[in-house]
Amino acid sequence: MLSTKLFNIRLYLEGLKRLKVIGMAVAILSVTISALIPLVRWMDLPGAHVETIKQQALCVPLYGVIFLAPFFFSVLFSFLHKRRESDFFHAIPYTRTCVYLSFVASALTFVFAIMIASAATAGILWALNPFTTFNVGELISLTLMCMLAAAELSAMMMLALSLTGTGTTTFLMFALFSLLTRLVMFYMATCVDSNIVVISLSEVPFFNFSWFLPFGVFTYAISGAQYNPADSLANIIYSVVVTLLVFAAAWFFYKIRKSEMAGNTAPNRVAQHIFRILFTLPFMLLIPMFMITDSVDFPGFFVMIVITLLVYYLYELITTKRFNGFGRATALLPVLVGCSLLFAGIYSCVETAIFRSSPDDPEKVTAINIDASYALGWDNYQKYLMQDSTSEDRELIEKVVDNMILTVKGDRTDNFQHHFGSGSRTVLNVTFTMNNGKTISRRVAFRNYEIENIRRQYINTVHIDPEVFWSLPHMKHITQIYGELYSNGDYGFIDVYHFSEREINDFYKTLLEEYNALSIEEKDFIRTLNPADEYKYQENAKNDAYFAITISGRLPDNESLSGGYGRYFSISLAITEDMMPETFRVLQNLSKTYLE
Amino acid sequence: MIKADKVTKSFFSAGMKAPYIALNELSCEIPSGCIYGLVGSNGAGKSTFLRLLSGVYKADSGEMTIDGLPVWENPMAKDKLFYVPDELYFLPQSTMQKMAHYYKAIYPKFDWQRYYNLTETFGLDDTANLNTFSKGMKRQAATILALATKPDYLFFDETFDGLDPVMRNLVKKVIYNDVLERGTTTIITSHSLRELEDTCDQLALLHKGGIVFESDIQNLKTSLFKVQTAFSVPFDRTRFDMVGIEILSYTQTGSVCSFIVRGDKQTVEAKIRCMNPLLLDILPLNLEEVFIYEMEALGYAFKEILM
Repeated sequence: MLSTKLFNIRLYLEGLKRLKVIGMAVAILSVTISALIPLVRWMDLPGAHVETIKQQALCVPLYGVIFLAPFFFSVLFSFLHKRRESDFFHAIPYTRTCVYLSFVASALTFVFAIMIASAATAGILWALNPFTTFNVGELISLTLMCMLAAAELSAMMMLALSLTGTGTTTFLMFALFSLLTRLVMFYMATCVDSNIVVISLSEVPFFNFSWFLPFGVFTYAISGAQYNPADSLANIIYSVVVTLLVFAAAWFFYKIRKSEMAGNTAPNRVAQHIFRILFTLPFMLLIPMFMITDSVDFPGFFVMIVITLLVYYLYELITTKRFNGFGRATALLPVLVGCSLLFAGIYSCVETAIFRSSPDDPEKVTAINIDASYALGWDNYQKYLMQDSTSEDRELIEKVVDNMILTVKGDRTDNFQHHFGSGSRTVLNVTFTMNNGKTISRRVAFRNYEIENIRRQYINTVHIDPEVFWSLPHMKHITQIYGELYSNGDYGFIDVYHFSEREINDFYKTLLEEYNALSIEEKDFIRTLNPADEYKYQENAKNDAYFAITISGRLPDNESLSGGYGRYFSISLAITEDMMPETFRVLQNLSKTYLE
Repeated sequence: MIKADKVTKSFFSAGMKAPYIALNELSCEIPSGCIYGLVGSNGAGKSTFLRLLSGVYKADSGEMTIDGLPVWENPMAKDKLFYVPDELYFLPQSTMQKMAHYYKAIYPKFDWQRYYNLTETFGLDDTANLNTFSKGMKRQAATILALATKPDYLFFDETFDGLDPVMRNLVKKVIYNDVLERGTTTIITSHSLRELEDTCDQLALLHKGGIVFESDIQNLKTSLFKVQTAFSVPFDRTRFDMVGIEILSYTQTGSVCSFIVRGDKQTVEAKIRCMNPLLLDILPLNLEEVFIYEMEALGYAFKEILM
C-alpha cells in the first residue's frame, strides 16, 4: 500500500509529463545562457599571451531559476484551482499525501535538474577555457545554495496553493508568505536602529533581509553585496529548517483541504478575513514604524492610512469580486489597529529590555572586545584577526562602561548632547564578557577626541600578537587584487584591473617580503593612508605618487567575520616608492603592461 | 453494500452570508448488485452524494462506507469504485489510449480486452485527441474507460445527458451486462424520471439534501394503480373506505369517480365488483404519476420538486 499512501512512481512520472513544456523551455534557456557566458568571455580575451585569469564561479541562470521554481509548482498543482480537475485528482485511489509528495518530487526534480545541468555546462566550459581557472568547489557551493533558495521559495508557493483556490489569491498569498516575516523583522530592526544607538538589529544576521535565502543569494550575485549566504552555516541551517517546516505546513493544509475549495479564494469565511488582514499588515505596520522613527509628518500619515484602507478593501474586492463583503471587512478593521498597537508595544518592550540588559557596572565585566572596525582605522581582515581577542584592562573597561551608561542615558532621553556635550561622536561595537560568562554586544558612543586613546589603549592591552594583527593573509586566501595610481595630490588615476594569476602570485610575493620588513608604525601608516590623508605622505616623499591597492580575499572554511559579514575581507594598502620600492616598481611595470 | 449514515455536507463560498447545505443528515443503504437511480431537481444534492461516495468530498458529519470501509482518504475503498462525473475531465492533450494506460496503472483490474471490445462496439477512435470529441463521444469514452476498470461500484452522474437514443440504449445494455455478469453495483443520477424508469432496480428521490422517497421500481409500478368506476346509485368515497381500499387520491364527477389505490390489484377489483358497478376500469400508472401521488401523500407538491 506504500505506493498509494506515500509516494507513487506513476504519479511522479505524470507530474514530470505535465511539466514537460515549461520545464524544457526553462532548461533550454538556462543551459544556453550558462554556455554563452564562458564562451563570450573566451572570445573576449585579447590573445594567447594573456595570462590565466582567476575566474569566479559564474552561472547567472541559476539565479533566474530560483524565481522560476515556484511557477513549476503552480503549473503542476493548478488542478487545485479548477473544480473538474480537482475532483479528478481526488477521486483516484491515492491518498492526498501520495499526490502531494509525488508531485512535489516531480517539480523539485525538474528545478534541480535544470540547475545542475546549467551549472555543469558552465563549469565544463569554464574548465575548458585555457585562459581562466576557477574553483569547482565554489560552483558546487553556489549551485547547492541556489537549489536551497529555489526550494525555500517553492515551499512558500506550495503553502499558498494548499490554502487558496484561485490563481489571484495564490499569487497574493505566495508574496505574503515569502515576505511578511522578513518585512515585519525589517520594520522592527528599522525602529530599533533608528531610535536606539546601543544596538543595531540590522547587524544581527537573523534580522538581515539577506537571511531570506532567495534574496540573499540574489543580492550577493547581482549587486555584489558583501554577505554571501553560502558562508554562513547558521543561515543554511535556518533556511533548511524553514523550507522543511513550510513544506510540512503545506502538506498538512493540503491534506485537510476540501476539493470543493477549487475556485474559492479561501477555505472558509474566517480564513478569508485572516488572509485579508495579513495581506494588509505590511502596509498597516508602516504607520507605527514611521511614528516610532519620526519619519513622516501628518499629511504623510493620512496618505498611509488611505493606502492601507485601499489595500484592505481592494483585496476583498479583487478576491471575492463583490462589494457585499465590505461590511464584514469594516467590522474587522479594529484587528488591524490592534496589530499596530501590538507592534508598537513589542517595540517598547524590546527597547526597555535592551536598556536594562546593557552593562552598567564595570565590576560585573570581566573583559571587552572592541570591533576592530574602520572607526578605529583598521580593515576587516584585522577585524577578523581580533574578533575573538579581548582586553581585561580595568581602566579601559571602566572607561567603556562609563560611556555605555552615558549612551543608554542618551538613548533614553534622546539627548546625546546633554550627556556627551557638543561635538561629534563615534560609535563602536563592543562585546562585554560578564562575570557569569555571558557575552553582551552593544554599541557604545565615544567623543571623537576619545577614539585615539581608546585605539591605543585597546591595541596595547588586547590579547593578540601584534605581528599577527599587522600580518597580511596567506596567498591561498587571496581572490583578487586591483589598484589605482594616485599622483599630484589629486585623483587622476590609472586603473589596473584583474591581474592574472601568475601576476598576482609574483606581485604578492614581492609585496609580502617588503611589507614584513616594515615596522609596525610603518605598517599602520600604509594601511591607513587614503587619498584624503595624502598629506601624511607628502611631507618626506621621494615623489608624491602611490598605488592604492585593494586586496580581496576569503577567509578559510569555517571562519567568518562577526556581524554577519560572511567570509570576505578586503585590505587597502598604499604602496609608496619610499617604503616598498620593489613593489612600487612591479606595479609600475604592470600598469604599463595594461596601458599597452 | 453502500451505506450512508446521517451524512451532512455544506459548502461555503467567500461572499456567502451562510454556508449552503447540500445534504442534510442523509441516510440510505444501497445493496450490492443493483442499479440504483437517484433523481432530483437541480441542486438537490445528487452530485454531492456521488462525490461523497467517491471520496472527493469529505462529509461534515456522518459516515459513508463501501463494504464497511470508509471512503475518505482510503485507497482500498477507492480501488473498488469508479466515478464518472457530470463534468468530465481528461488529462491534457490525451487520447483514450493514454487515459487507458493511466487507469491501467491505477486500477489493478483494468481489462484491455474489455476496453478494446467496448471501443469497437461504440465505434470510437481511441488514438484521436479527446479534445476533438463531441460531448456525447466524450461521455461514451468516459463510460468505456469506467467499464474497462471493472470496478465493484460504478457511479454515473447524469451520464446519459448528451447521448443520442441509440447510444443511450447501448450504454444501458452494456451496464446491464456488467451488473449481470459481475454483480456491479451502479448508481445513476438524473433529473429525469423517464430516463431512469427502464434502467434502474431501485429509485430514490432527493430533495433539499434528503431522500424523501425510496422504493423498488417493480413495487412502485405495481403497488399503485388507477381505478375508474361508476354506479347507478348515489355514492361517495366512504363506500370504498369501508371495504378497506387504501385510496391516495379521489375525484368524483356525478356518478363517475376515479381514484388512485395502493394495494393488490386483484383484491381491489374483486371488492369493487361486489358493489355492482356500472363501469370499472383499472389502469396502470407511469412512474411519474406514481411519484406524484406518493409525494402528495407525503405532503410534497411533486411538480414543485422536479420543476
